[in-house]
Amino acid sequence: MSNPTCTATLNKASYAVGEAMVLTVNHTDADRMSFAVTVQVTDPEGNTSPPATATATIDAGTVNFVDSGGKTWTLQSATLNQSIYTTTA
Amino acid sequence: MPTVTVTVTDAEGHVSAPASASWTVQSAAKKVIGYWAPAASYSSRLATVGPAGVKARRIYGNLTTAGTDMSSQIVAAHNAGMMPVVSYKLGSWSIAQGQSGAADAAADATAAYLASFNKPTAVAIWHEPYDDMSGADFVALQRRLVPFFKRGLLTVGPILHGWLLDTAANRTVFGTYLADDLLPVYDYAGIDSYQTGSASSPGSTGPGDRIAPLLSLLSARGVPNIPIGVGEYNAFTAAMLRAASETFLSTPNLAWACMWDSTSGIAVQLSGDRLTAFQETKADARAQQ
Repeated sequence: MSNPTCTATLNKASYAVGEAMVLTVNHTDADRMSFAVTVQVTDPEGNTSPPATATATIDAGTVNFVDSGGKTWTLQSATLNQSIYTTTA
Repeated sequence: MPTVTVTVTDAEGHVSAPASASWTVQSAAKKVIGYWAPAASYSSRLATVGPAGVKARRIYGNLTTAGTDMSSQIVAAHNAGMMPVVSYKLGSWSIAQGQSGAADAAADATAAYLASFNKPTAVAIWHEPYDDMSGADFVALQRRLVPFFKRGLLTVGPILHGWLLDTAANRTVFGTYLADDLLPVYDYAGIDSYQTGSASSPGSTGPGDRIAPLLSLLSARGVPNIPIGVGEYNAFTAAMLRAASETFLSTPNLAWACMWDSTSGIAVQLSGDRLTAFQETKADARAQQ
């Protein structure tokens, strides 16, 4: 029900042509949560399967870009609240 | 000033307030094209090649107690507006002695001498070490002596065999000469790079072909933006020289590349269309004049 928030931080203020640029986007949402469901099946004879786990995130959020220089930012890694992107200066 | 603006949209369609980051891009630095010829013929050869656009001089010396080995060439380079690119070996000290501190005072004196000019000077301690020692021994020697050269306008780095970058197996060997703790200390990473094959049967791999694998290796080792130096290069054909030049001049990371102009098993003195190709390189608008 709440709006997400985000910050964007580059690893440097000035780059040489061709230098790697790293953009860190921190993003939060009060509604966001990550959870895991683990299930096991037991048959009538009492045999139990190994556990199987599925994880899901509610309101993970999508990061949208507008780049005045027309650069394409490539996702390198992401956690629930932080995504790291790179491009070339 | 270019700007990237990001927003985050959640599953319900809520959009965050925008967050922006801006940056500047420095104009590409012009490349330093350097030159080496045997000392006895250096002046006449340089006159033949043409001094215009030659902005570095390759020099080979030894650490000495006085620290002034090859001073005549170093002074001449500075006076000619060229950056000395000086490789030092250990002179009277063995590699083991260098590793254990016997050459410390000589390294300190040499670094002080070079820094006294207050002009850019590139330094390598024991170039092409694969011929002479293991990666572990090289790293130990570097850890001991490189810190002395971290002063003033000196830049210091390794100059390794470029041909080690030609195969995956040899790239692994190449990597053993670079230590993770030294890479951030180095001011540049260098190679010597010649065309494979021979004058009578030139190979298909040229001096410029090692730049991409070098950059890839350096990125993987955490220093994607370290300047690149080419301590020596030459090729048996004009086409290969032109291809190398284009790679050098168009690679943002590349800082300097020095032509090794002599005839030996690995190279042939410049003449004819190969001389013309080098003259085109040093006259290129992307090269310092």
